[in-house]
Amino acid sequence: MQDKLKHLLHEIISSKKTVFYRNQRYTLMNPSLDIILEADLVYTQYYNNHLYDDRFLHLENITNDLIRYGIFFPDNEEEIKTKNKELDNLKKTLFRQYKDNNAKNICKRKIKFLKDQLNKLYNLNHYLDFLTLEKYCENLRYEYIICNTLHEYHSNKLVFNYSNLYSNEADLFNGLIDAITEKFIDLSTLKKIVISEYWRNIYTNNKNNIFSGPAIEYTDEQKSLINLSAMYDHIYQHPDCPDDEIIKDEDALDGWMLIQKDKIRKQKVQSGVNSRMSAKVAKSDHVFIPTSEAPDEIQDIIALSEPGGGLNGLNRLDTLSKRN
Amino acid sequence: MARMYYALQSVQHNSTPLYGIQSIGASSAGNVTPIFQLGMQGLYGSYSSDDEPIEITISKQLDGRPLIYDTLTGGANDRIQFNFWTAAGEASGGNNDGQTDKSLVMPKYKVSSVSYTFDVDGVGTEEVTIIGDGLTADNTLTRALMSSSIVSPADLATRARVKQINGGSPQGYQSVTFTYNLNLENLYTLGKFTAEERYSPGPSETTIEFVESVEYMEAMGSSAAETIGGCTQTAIGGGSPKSIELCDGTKISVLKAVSTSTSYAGGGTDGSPLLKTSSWTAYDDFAVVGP
Repeated sequence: MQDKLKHLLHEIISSKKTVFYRNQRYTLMNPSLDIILEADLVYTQYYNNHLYDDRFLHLENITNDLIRYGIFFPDNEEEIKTKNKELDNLKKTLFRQYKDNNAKNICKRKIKFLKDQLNKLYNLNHYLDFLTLEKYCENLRYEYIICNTLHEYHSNKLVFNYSNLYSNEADLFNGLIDAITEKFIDLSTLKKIVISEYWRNIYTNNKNNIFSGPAIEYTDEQKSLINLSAMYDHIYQHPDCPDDEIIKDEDALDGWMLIQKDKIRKQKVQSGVNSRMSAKVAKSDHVFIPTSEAPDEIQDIIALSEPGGGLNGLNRLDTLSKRN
Repeated sequence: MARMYYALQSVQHNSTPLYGIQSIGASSAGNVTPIFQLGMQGLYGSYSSDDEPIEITISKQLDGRPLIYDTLTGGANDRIQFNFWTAAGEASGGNNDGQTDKSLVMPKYKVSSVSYTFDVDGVGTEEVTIIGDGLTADNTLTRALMSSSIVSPADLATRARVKQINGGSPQGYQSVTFTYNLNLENLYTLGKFTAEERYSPGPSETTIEFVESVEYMEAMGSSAAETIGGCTQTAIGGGSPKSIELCDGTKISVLKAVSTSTSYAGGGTDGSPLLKTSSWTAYDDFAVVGP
């Protein structure tokens, strides 16, 4: 395991982060339940007092606002869905063709391109979020927590006083917020930590008692670490567990999981369909199952066909017609 | 062959939609027959029998609406139409906005068998098998859209809706099955691959099966005090009438059925009830009255 990942893991386990800003060292502690409760009150109080304040937009109407300002269009929403489906299909293809280096590289390039496109669309979709009351209140909550958990390293004193935060320390505060934001660990890095030998050794020793204190006091990263570890446990214990190289490749592993999900969904649909078929119908080559017009439902039924189903199947049925 | 599944929108007899359809199965015996000749290892020739008749079985829950058997034996020039959804983008110009994407029609068919099953679990079912020469695509026909109007069952044939069995109380009966089979055969002629006509060489057979709880019948002092031990009761007077009648007026009956077998199961140390299964057969004797 790389030293950087080890250090990140140590920080996660210690429930605190070391932050450097302008040659000073700070420590960000995990907020206690009391601090979180107070922060919730800050959120609620401001939210209720400004619910009808015209200066704020609201998250529930944000899509309409985005359309009104010509930033995001209904087509974009459809595009996100289509691209997400395309991305899922690419991940499945990546898993299936992982041994073929050429195909793998092409898939990876396409996946990267699609992810970039999706990120742009997501950014557009959240372009006005910072103007919403909800987002503003969320920031207030976050600021409250930072003020009450950020300490000077040597004196161990709180750096800020929330009541006069903006009076004379705004610059320092904003700078430190940026430094703290940089310390957040993204999902990909967390996954790398979770599959590392170093963490697996710690985790398998005592899965239920790794971090001190009750689960409610775990940091978000600690919770993610536990959840991801449980997810990888399921993968390792699966009868069709993929190779290590697949497990290490986030996209290929996503592809494997999507295929497993499809299999389970197909089994559920098949079992529902079986319960509707009489013994005689069940022996037929072509089975017609009534469905609504919902595209997912239609797709689920057609997907039960063995290769060659769908419209080809319909055409095949069609061609069974007479030839005098 | 690989089994295919299709998303069905509706089934119509001429322009009338059929309600309560659960599933439909279609099969064809069509295949390629290879021909070899002596002195040659490879294929000498082959012929396709793709034009074998298609057999379609339609399964319906009895719901107080007209029976499929009644509907399909209506009259001449009848056609049965299957309307399918296709997956998005699968058909050129396909859509899912309230219009089906493809219809297949069987213009000439004959009912080959029909079966009615009533059980203490679930809803009574009707299963009709038809045989026809083929399904042809026809997207010019008007389609019945089931999803555009919500239609509830008129009277679901649950166990509580069975009014009479064999002219008496249905109490004690666990399940009843009537199967009427015309044993259709194809009449071929030279110069034509497909069947010229389909006919029943006769006699048409109706088989009936009753499953009854023996303990219940004895406790009630039923007259069905047959000897337990697998003895077959001889039908008296050349056969006895068998029937089942639902509260909605549906009645399936034969006039003269003869017993073919009786067997007993259950009554073991596990506490399972003793059940009597009796099978009966009638020939050229079957009547159905719809709701």
